[in-house]
Amino acid sequence: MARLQLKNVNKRWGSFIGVDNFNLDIADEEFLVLLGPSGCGKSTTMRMIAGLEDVTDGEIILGDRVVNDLEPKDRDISMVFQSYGLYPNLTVYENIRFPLRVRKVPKEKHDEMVMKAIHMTELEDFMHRRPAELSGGQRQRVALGRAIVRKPTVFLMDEPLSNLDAKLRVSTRAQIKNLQSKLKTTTVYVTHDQIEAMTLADRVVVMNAGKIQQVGTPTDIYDMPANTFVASFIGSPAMNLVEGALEGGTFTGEGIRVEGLPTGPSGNVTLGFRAEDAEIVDTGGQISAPMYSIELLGEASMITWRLGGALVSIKTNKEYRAEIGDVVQASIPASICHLFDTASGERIAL
Amino acid sequence: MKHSSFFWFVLPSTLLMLAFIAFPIVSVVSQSFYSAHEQVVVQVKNCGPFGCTMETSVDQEATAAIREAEPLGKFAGLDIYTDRNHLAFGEVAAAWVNSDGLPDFGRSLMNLPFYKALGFTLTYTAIVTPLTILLGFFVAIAVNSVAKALKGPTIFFSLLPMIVTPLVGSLILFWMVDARGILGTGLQWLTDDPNLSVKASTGLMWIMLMVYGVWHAAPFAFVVFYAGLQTVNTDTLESAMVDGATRWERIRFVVVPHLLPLVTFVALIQLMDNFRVFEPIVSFQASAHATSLSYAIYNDLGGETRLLSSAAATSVLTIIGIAILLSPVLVRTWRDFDRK
Repeated sequence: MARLQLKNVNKRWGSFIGVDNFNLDIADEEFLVLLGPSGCGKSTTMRMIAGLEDVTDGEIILGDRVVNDLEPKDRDISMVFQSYGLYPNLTVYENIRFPLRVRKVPKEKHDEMVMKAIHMTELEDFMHRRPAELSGGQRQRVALGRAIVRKPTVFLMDEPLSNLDAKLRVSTRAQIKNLQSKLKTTTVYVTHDQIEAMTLADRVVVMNAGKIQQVGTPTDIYDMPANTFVASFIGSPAMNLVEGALEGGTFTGEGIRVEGLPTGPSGNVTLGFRAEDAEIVDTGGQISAPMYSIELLGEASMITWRLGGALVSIKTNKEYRAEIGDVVQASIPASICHLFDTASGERIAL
Repeated sequence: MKHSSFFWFVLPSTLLMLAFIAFPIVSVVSQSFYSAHEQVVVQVKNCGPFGCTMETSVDQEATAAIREAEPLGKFAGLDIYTDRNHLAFGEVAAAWVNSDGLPDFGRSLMNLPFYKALGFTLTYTAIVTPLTILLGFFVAIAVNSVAKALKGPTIFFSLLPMIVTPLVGSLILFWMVDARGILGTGLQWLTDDPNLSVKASTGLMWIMLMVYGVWHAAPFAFVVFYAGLQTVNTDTLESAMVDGATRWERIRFVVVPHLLPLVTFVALIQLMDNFRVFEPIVSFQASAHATSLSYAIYNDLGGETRLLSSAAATSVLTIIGIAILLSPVLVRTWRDFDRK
């Protein structure tokens, strides 16, 4: 049983608040991703779970034990670090064996357990090499092997792919997903890369300034962002956000007018829509303004307008051509729109 | 880099090395093959009111003329190296034949000035070097783990033995071990022997010199290791914590391997320093119990007779000793470099 609960967890350094009233219930075998920009408190939260950072207030419960006062080694967790944290003087085999050695696991079991971890991380050809003789991806696989070798109840992964190049990141990401599904171990994964979060997570926790912004499945987060921060953080490109006024179901902003929205709310709102949901039209578009830029992305083209203070982009087919400054129209049906309160940034339920 | 650019780049330092390192060594080596000219003695007839007598006197002019003609002295080959004050081959051979077992041979050897100095120098080096490294390492670990606010004062106090001039430091300890000093009295009380005198006992004097050596040199090792500790990978330390390593295991598996190159560096410096041990012997006035190779050179040069060639021979033997001592570390460093 490796249910992990964080109840009213706070972390403060003097007057600075690192993590603010964090509440979360992570189910057994769940893959949970903490996502947010640098300095949002996601790594601090993970370090508190690991026991590498003291909790100022609140409780961390692992299984049925409050682990606040336990040493990291007594929490039955393992952790993978961004810079691998390998022992440079030990070989791959000895690195993976290290947790067994220091935890006094009977020696006769070591070889079988280490070889199994080596096999799962596909490191058979490198087991006698030292970390300095390995590539970044191989080093991170050694760190993964060391994490899984003693079958902990929780895996903690602190931006494990950040030091890898883009190509290696994709393959190692797939490997992590595969390993977690095989091992069925509760995993908490920290990243600032929303693609990693979307592809790996059962649930994503979006954080900003030490606070949870939204908790949900990747689809929930993408389709129903709880506020403008989540809307602008998730998705590539980020959701378009245009400020304007809503009156009688019609949103009016600079260079944009969308009808058919719910008639209930009114006043200053922020309208959001995804670039891939809108389309370029010849006439009758909700946006009609001079084009600011056109970028060829490979599989599509990105058309951008400047509407008031905001840049608004939509994706269209890669053959589309227009000159900068040409008036281009785009269809923004009400069905693809999200409304947020401009003052608070919170989502307005439609 | 072009060969010509490299040549001009290293030329100044090469010239300085030749002038201040190579040339003095060559000079010392050549001096060690020459012994001082004997004085020219003449028989002079001295007549007075009570008759004439034959007297022996030094012909100053003739002596000065010979010395001017051959300023290095008389070529002696390896005679100085093999005389009683140095390698003493004849005496060693005699001792080997006449001794009753190895301990007796050792005792005879320790009566010869060079071997007595070499014996203390090697013992001092062999004991002080590892103890200095160990003490410096543990002080660095301890200072590194104290609260931030206390680090400054702790570092200052840890460095004090190195800041204090060696002569002053050893004199303070010398007074402390005096029969009326706090340590001397303490030892008498501990051993319940009112006649116990550190200064009178060869064994205790050796221990005192070595304790002083470790006390004086440990701050150097501490500073180097403390600097090294600031570069230990925090992720590796933390992953060891999560893996289940105790504090001691983290030191053993993470910190020590990280500091190993620095251990080599400190060992090299300390080997050289300790092999040249000198000041404590002077300050402790311990020459009756312990002499070192450096002290022997100082003695030859400072005495009334100014035995320049003898000092040169001891210097050459000291250089050879340092080279032998450092060779394993140098060979290892060279191999590591070659492997890269």
